[in-house]
Amino acid sequence: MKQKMIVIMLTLLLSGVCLAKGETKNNGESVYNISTVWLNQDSQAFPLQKLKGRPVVLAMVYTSCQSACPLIVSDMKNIAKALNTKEKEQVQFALFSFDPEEDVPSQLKQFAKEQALDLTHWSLLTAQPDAVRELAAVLGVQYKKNASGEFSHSNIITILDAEGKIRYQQVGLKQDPKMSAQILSQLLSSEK
Amino acid sequence: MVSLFFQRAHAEALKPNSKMILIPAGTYVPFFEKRTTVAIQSFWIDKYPVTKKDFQQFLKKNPMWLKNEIKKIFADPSYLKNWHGDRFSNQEKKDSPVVNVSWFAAKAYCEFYGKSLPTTDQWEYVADDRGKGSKEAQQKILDWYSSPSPKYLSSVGQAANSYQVDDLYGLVWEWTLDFNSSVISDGDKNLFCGGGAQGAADPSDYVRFMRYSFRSSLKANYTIGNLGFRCVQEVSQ
Repeated sequence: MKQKMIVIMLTLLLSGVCLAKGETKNNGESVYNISTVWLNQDSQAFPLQKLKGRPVVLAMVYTSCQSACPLIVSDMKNIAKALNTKEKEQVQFALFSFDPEEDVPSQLKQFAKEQALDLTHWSLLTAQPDAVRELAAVLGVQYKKNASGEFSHSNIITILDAEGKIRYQQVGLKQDPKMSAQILSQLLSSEK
Repeated sequence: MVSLFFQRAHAEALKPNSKMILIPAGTYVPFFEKRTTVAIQSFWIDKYPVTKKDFQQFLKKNPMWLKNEIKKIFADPSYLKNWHGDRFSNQEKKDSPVVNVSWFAAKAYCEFYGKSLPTTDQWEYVADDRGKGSKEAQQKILDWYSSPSPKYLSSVGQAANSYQVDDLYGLVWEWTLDFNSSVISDGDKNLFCGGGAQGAADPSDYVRFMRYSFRSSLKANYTIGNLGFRCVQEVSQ
């Protein structure tokens, strides 16, 4: 009898442990486990976690970039265009700068204006080099500042679900937005 | 005499701990760069790679980095392979380098002790060993790269360079802070592969080519059986 009790207690205990582990496992995959604070285009503090709760389309760029970055932004706009109006309302778009020195909030705001970005759905963010390095590490983005002040970088658009888990990465420039849009639609319909 | 004593005492006070080496300022030519030289400030660097015993001490104070506690995004499933909680396998040497650690864990370790991971420039500058890191060393490194990894790693302290920094090669590869800066391309014009080698300072330097290409293949959550790390510290003013 005593042995049986021990077995039952152990089973309960272990199932409790498993449950707890399962929970942390899901959140453990979230990009929001890194706790960096950014500044947005209006100079407001913007903790990364602020993006939580809705699917996010994000990329790392810098505003003085001549060739690749405008294409990344245009690819993100194409993803937005591939969504229906209702879906578009529920998706958040974010651009993170590689370049803390040049991309101060006012510069980000200017870039948003030039690119005609709707700031109700887009956030443009800048932070200290450590935070930039950490986000790039989580996203698998390679970058390096050259002597000329230009950045070499990977061209990657990342899609996060509402919890911050990476669901898809669109790699390369001028890609068909179909796959990204499809994944966003799926994310939005599964949340309902 | 008094001032000499004072200088010495002052230097001792600045020294973070006995296992760190002060690297003098200087310049070096980085790989894959068109600019000729990079100026490096003086900094402290760990004499040895971080050992299993060192990492165990860290885990005791930072249980969030235990194998069973670590957030999945910070390490792949082989993180601290063969460890049980904060204990490593008793077949392993306690003074051998800790391996199977992700960039996130390595960075957290250094930061906990008020240090940081070395930048690639800092690491390469020490490995360059005032230009001595060439010929003879390169052959040793090639021999090391081509030999299979041993089942159990040796203890640290196998070989020191002229700075008295040990084990920069021969034991494990090491994480750098900006490991994800090995973009083998020109500006943002995406010249990869063959084009990348044209930008190399010395294309015959195969050893450095291996290190850069290894770094560029890494992701921050990767944990590998022959990849460890050491830390650096700024020289306080």
